Amino acid sequence: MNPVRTIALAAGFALLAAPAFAHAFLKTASPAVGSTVSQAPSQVMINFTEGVEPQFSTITVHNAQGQPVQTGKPHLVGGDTHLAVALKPLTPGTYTVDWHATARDTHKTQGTFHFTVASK
Amino acid sequence: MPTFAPDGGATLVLARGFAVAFLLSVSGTLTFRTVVMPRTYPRMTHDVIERIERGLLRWSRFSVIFAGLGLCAWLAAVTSYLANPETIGDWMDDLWTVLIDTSFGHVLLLQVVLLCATVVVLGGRPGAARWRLGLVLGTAAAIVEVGHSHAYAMAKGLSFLEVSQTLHLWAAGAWLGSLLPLLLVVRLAPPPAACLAARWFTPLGQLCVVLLAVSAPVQGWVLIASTKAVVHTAYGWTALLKAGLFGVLFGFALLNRYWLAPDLRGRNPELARRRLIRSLSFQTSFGLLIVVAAALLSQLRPGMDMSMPG
Repeated sequence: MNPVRTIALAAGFALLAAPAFAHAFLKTASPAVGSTVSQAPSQVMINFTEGVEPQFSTITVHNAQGQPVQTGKPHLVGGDTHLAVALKPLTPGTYTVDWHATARDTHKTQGTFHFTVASK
Repeated sequence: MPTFAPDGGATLVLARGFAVAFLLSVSGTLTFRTVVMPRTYPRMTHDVIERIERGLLRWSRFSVIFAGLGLCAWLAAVTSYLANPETIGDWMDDLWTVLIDTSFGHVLLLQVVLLCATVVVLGGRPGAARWRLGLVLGTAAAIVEVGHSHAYAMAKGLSFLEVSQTLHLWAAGAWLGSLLPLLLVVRLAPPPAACLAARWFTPLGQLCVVLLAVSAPVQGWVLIASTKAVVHTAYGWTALLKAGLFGVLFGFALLNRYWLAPDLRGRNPELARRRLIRSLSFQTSFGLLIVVAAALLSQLRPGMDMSMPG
């Protein structure tokens, strides 16, 4: 094959295969970012854009008074992109989730989001 | 002007650069000894061959040991960055956690094992087979470096970016890592034999330059993601600096191959030798700068992430 065509094809393949981000960012979360849920969740789980190191990643959840409501350390669930932390029984109100992730290449990222548990 | 704030600060960049520079040196020295030198030894006396072999062996071992020390320094810097330990005791505990429980630690351990195996293989007076085995092990230690990259962290399986990064690392090692061994040969060998070594180094150098020239833009295109990010991010600026340094290195390579090395067969070979040694020294220094720029790139947030918070 013509070398120019080979290089063009390779570059094209690289673009098609290009992932979205080079660091671990929040992709989806449960409860979802900014959502209101009718039933209090028993855990917060974050799906990251790439694998994270659980030993050096944290998820903390605070209620409206700023008190932590998570129990134990975050752990991986079914693969290295899903990090979860268990919660104490939640009462209705708004909760703040702070996450710090360390990707497999040791780069750190962080973020915050809220969710609300609706009163019945 | 964008802000240059590498993850982990300058210490982490320098520790990483130190480790990578010597890993590339291991790979390049062994490639040069195994691929280039056997073609030039027939033109040299036994005495010169002995001196060159001793020099290359000493530099190979030195590079392996300093690559290992560089990896240790990098591990220490990464541990401090990830865990923020308050006491030496905490730091020691965290060091162990990073080594055993993280992907970074596993890749680093593999590199250390490969370097130890390289030292063992190059013990005593290695023959051709042991030099070749050392080349495989030492090059593997350098190429495994891809496991510390953005490409590896992003990949869900084997990705095109990882393949590109692997070729880039191999080519960087074979080219930049061969410069000091070539300098050694130019210094020790009779000028006509040194000229021959430079000539036999050319096909390898050309292959490396092509691989670097193709793989670097591919990685840049994927990781920087937009022309705006080239101009407005520290990552983009550093990538441009690296490309500029690559141009300077290429210029030195042309100068050495087509002007200075042929002069070794001219009327004043001693003057030509001094000029070539000086040129190779400058080229090696620029090569080191490229490695530091690459280490800085690895610790910066790529342009593709600029739309994300944090």
